Amino acid sequence: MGASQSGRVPEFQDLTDKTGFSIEQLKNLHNRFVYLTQDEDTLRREHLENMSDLALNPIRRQIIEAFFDSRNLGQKEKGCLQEIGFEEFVTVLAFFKPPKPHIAEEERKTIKKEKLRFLFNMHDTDNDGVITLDEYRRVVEELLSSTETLGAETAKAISDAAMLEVASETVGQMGPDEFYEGITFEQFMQILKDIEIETKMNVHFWNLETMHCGK
Amino acid sequence: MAYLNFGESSVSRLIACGAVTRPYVEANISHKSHTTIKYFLKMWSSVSDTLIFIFLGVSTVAGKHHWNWTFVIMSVILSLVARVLGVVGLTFVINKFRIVKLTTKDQFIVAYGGLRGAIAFSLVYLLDSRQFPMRNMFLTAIITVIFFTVFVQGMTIRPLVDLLAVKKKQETKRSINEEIHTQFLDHLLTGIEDICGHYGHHHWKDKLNRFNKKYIKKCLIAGERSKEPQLIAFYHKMEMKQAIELVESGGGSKLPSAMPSTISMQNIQPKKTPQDRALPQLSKSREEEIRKILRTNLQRTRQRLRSYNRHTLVADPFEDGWNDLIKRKRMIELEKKMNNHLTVPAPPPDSPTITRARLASDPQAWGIKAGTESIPTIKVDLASPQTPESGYMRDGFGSKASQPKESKEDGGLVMKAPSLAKESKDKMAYEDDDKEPQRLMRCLSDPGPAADEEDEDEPFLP
Repeated sequence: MGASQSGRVPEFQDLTDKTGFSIEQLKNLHNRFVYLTQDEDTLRREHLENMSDLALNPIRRQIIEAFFDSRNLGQKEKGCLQEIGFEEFVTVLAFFKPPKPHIAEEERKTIKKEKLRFLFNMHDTDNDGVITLDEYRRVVEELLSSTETLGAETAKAISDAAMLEVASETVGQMGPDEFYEGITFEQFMQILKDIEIETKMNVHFWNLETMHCGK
Repeated sequence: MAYLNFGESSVSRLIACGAVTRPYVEANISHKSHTTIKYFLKMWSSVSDTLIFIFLGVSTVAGKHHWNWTFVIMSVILSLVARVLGVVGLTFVINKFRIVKLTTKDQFIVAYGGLRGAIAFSLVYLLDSRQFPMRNMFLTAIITVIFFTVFVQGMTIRPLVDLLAVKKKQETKRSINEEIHTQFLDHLLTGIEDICGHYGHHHWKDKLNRFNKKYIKKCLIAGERSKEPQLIAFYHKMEMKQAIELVESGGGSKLPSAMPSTISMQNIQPKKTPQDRALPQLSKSREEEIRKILRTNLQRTRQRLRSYNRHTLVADPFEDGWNDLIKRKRMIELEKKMNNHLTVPAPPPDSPTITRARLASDPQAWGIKAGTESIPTIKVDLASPQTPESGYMRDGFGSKASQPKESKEDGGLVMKAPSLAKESKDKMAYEDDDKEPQRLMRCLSDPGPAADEEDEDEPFLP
């Protein structure tokens, strides 16, 4: 493995600059990538769907989609890819890097915005830049889908109340005949500004030795 | 399991046991019991605390003291030093695992907040003077330490906190969006951790939750409450809060401050094309008017319900009243859908006292009397209290042929045509919110079927 590993170091170097992971972390992630794809070159949806750990997660479909969403990969055109390489894998995971402890305020804001953008993209499945009521409803339904006692009524009521709240907070006054299109990204940022997303939406990559690689 | 030894000290054992079993106990008791227990125990702890401090005071004044400058001063200083060392050492270790580290400011406040009190005093007092000949000296010292920490530190910590601008606990209510997203984030992070194969603490937390839900909750929590997911419970709570706010805000027609805007469900519903609405509609303005009227009446209804309104006590979420409300509401709905839409406008809103007087003298105005002879198909199954409440109402609707006005409301609000789907008790609680406008108009103008003798109290769903 030594030869192939050293061949990868230069490309890891690029990735380090791009994503902010260290070489060590990138190596571990690469091992993981190889494990997930079973030694193929690219990752496809089936690879992720076959993971047993993920099966119990109520929002796994959206998580898997997020990896293939070209908006998250920094590409201009919308749509999703069918398969991704290691670079894209790491790019998506970079959204979950914790910010360094002492960073400037603007940088923190940027990071926050990026993370919120990621979340927004996860909700906005049709890529139109707005989260409509239906999409939000689906989100709530999926969240609650792990319990059995759920009917469509529940999710509807909750998501409607949530939308109402968003609309009230962000738009304020609206006449009875106007129609609220959906949550735009700015409104999304506004309602979630109190959750400190830059501190919450993180995965500790420092301890990657516990990863399961190869079996 | 929680009763098992959790450490040497019985105090820590007690605390651990309480902390572990608390969620299960809380879920099993009604809201009233919960409030009762909570305030009863608070009272008791206040009493005990007071007793101990009286004792302390008396023994300061009347006890035998042996003042030893060195010992006392050293005690005070060393206890402070020990506290600081403990805090600093532990936070050093903890900060290695945290993203948001505890700053020096935080550590200082934590160390400064170490007030000694009842326990220290009791421990010293219990020393046997035969084995500890210097007991009096200890007593003097501990009393001095207590006085120092309580008076000096206790009194100055508040200004210090303000001065240092320490981040305080957020008192704000969580909005439902935040709640949704917090849960969403949890799942998301667990998923990402799984993809990375990294067994981080989200993974374990998730596993624990699942284990909890699957096994423990089933055993320890009675009935259906074991299945209620957190989001729904939160939604309940929020609705309760809003309802309480409504009551407390008095008879005025102002809405609770949570929703100061004029946005209603209409704005959010996608505009249906004309083909979707097969039945004639009321104009939107008329709808709005009706809704406003209904809302004011809603407030008046809720006033009538018993609410224990101390400034520290949350108004008792009319446990019984809530059910009445729900029953009434459903009956109203039923009624409304049977007859054609209401034409009688509500009387102008009265002041709370007048309203209360009026209602008190005529309780049946709110009651729903049986007036359903005209509609033979209504079948209200009152027999079994545990059937999903709204279920039976819905079944009644479904059997009726024509519902001329029903989808008008559906169009405007979230309400859908009555489905025969079984609905759990949970849902009816926040259908309240949606159907709130449609409610009690009927009551005022035309008393409906009596629903008060229906099923008995259900325990409050926390």
